[in-house]
Amino acid sequence: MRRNKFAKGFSWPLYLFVLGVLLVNAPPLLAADEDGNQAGFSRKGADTCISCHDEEAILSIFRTPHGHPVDANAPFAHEQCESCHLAGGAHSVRRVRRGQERPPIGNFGAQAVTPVAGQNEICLGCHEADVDPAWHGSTHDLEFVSCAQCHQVHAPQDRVLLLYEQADVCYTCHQKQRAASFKPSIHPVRQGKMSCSSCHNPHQSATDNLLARDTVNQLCYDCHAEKRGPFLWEHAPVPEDCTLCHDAHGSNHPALLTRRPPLLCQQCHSQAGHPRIPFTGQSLPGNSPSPFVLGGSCMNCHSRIHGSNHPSGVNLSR
Amino acid sequence: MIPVCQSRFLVLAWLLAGLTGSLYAAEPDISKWPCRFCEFPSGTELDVDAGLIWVSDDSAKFGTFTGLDEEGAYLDAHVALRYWGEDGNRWQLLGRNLGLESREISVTGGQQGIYELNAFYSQIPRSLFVTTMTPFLGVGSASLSLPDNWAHAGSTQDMTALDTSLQPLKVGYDREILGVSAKYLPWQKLELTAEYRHDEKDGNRIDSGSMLTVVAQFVQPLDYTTDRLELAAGYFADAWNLQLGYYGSVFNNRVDRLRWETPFNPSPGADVGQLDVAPDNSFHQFSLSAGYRFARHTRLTGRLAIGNGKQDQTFLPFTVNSLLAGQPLPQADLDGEVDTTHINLRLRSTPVRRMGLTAEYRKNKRDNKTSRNLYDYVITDTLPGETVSNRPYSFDRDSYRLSADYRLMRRTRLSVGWNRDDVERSFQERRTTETDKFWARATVGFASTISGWVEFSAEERDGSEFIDLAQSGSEQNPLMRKYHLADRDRDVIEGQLTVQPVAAWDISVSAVVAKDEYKNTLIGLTESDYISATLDTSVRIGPVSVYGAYTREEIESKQNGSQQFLVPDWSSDVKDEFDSLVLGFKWPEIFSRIDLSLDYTYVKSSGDIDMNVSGARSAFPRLETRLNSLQLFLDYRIRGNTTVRAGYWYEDYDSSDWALDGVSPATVPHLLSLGANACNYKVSTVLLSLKHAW
Repeated sequence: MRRNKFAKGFSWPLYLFVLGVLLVNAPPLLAADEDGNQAGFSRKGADTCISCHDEEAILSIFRTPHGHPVDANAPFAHEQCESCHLAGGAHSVRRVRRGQERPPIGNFGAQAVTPVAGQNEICLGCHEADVDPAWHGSTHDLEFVSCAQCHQVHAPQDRVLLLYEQADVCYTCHQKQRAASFKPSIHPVRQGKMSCSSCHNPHQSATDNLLARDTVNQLCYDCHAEKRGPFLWEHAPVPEDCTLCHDAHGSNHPALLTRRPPLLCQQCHSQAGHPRIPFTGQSLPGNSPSPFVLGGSCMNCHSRIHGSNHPSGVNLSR
Repeated sequence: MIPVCQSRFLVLAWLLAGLTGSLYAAEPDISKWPCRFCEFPSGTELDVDAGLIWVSDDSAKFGTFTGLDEEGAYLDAHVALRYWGEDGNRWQLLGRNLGLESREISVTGGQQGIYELNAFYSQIPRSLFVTTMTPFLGVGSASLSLPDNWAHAGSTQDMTALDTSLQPLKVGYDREILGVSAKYLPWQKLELTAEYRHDEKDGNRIDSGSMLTVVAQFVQPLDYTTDRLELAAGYFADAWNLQLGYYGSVFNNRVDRLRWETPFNPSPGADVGQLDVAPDNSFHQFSLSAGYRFARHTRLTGRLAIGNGKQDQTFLPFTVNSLLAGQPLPQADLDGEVDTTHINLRLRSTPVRRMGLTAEYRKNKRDNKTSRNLYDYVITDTLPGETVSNRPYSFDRDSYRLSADYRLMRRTRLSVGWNRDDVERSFQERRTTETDKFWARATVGFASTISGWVEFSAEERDGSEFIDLAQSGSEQNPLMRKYHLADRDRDVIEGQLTVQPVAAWDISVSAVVAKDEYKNTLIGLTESDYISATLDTSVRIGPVSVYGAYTREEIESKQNGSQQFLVPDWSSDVKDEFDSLVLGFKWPEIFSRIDLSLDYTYVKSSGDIDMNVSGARSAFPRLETRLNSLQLFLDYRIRGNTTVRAGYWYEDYDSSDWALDGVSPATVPHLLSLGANACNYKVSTVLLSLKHAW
């Protein structure tokens, strides 16, 4: 048996290796050959894509920052659709055999073929600076949340970036918080005057609840700076954690309080005198109406509950 | 020495790999991609939606945050103006609720990739009470007086001039926010940002002042401004990033005190009382954030933020009672100063493809440097008090987090972790607390139709010995264990499951069960339970999407007290319940012209408090709120760019609150109240507007 000259001096593992290398790189090469596509990309870029995908929901990309050809950083200044959806040469092959599925292209969303990590890597390729560098390993990252689950990249106005629509996006998963937005005492999220990102940074992991500031109190002081102090007479746990007494997502009780005074106050105060007294329905109108219970309850007298700067305000009553 | 055949092998392999690899990695020649079908917008677009809103009734609660607090007609408009320039300039103006007190307007734009500017203005109306009444004159000022004919008395029932002196009073405030921000990218990896925000809070809120055992409610004028400035410069290289930041916030209160004339029989010299109001203060913080990627799968990120807060509002005198005045203050102002330190260090590594490890350290320190002094305080402008020292509160929290996660399948991951929090506090009954928490979580996803997660955590908190901190006259029951300091066991299990039986139907169930046990507490909060469950579904039937969600939440707690100042002799069981139901549908493109949507919301909350005092059980009346809300909107497209919108919004809100119901100004002998009532309203709102796009 004659041996091929080319094969002379080569062993069978080499054939396997060469074949392997060719196979690994085959799709782009083959695609380029079959339809004249360039390096695995489609033949005419966006024009190729739009010849099939001409729905308004897709074409609206041109009304977004991503669809801008002048910005050197925008996808459309580069490989157009294929900047994000990756090389679509195989996908854009003109003819597929009957019954054969068109090869998939990179797509986005919770139910996309492209794995979530792969989707997000594409977005982070440009937006690493926009999201927090601590995204990697953050709660949303580990929960397989893709960027496209929250962001509508093709929509002229991304809902999650609108103050008055963002919460509806977040509530898709955070259902308990949506219910809380209907409670009698709330922040104005449901009315569109605040958004979830007013308090939370969904891209990071540096705080336990993805807070937008270093601590919960620093966050609250953004809008409630009058409670920041320092005060001459401090109500000790107040500067440490507002959530000891308030539930920011909503409460059945006024002022977002977690429980109803006077019992809320009596969970910490059992001093000699009136704090130790058990108040009952006897303190209501019709019996012996009591200022310890009615109106502002304990805060009727201790009205400087967040701290007092009055030299005589040691009991937070001045 | 490498055999000849092997060297050829390697060269050929390298050539092949290089050739095909470079082919694969090569960028396409996009000059051959003319993008002829790409509809790049240019020029200006304008959408205006203007119309009339009619509101059937006055209501503070309905009007809070919406601006629709009074009966009558309102003109309203929404505007969107967009401009696309040929050179990459892009501007957008959005206006919303321009005719209402909840209006907001924003302008955003810039040259994409180079700079971005933003300015916004927003108003948030907060209407609290509209049926309140007060006998005080000078409402809105810092000095409240009583009518000349006022008859002082020992109790409200004996204030004979009260009924004729009462004037209607609205309680509420508006918040106005003006913000501007800028982002500039001098080159691709450097980003400079600046943001300024100015908040004004103007109006009034309920306040009260006491004279020994009697107290009067009135309103405190609010005239706050807060200015906030944030600056940041960040450099983002491929493997590392560095950001320097500044945060400054300055709070200013244009009101510096509040005086009121006591309506009760005054003690000698105590016919007027004086309250402090929120003092001016400032906070400045500098931060350094950095990240470094050691290898493809190991990242170290960190943040150090050093802050300083100050408050040096001039002290008011100990009292305005001329008979007790004269005691010198130890200093003219507090000269209060707080240093804050925040550290976050986080190492995240995926040493093998499926496994991730995270280690984290955090510090949250508040070092209150305010000096301690002795104050000879006066009790409510009435009696001389004792000499007490202020207690500048400091704390130092060190947190440690360790976790590991393993991805079993494409969307299935197991995670376990340990959290530790060590807190040291000054001037507290317990100097240190230590909290350990162990948790495990499973996140699952099968095909694309089933996904969910479940997490369990067990937490235990203990700490140092409790000590008696009482200053003279304020002895705490030695058995009291404050709930943020007490030994506590907390177990939580929560999860969520989302199923998609068919492509157009989603069902999701989520639940949380949590139990807190304050195992060594005799006086104070002893246990707390929390349960929440939600069923959420949405289905698409042809063009119609229908959705619904139901949530139930229960919060129960038990606490003990001691009126004998010994062992527990009374207890309370508190149960708050909350139910919410949301149903709705959206039906677009009916006859290609009509969009129809409907939302119905039912919300019920209740609160029950059962008291057990030395074996005698009694209950407070139930706290309750009920909301029925129906919103119906119909959009009819007259032409392609013109739409008429008609809407109907009905809300029925009932509430019972024993703290307010039946409490008129003279109901409580020693409390002159404003007569605020629990909110109840039925409001119908009709909307008719025309939307046109140019």
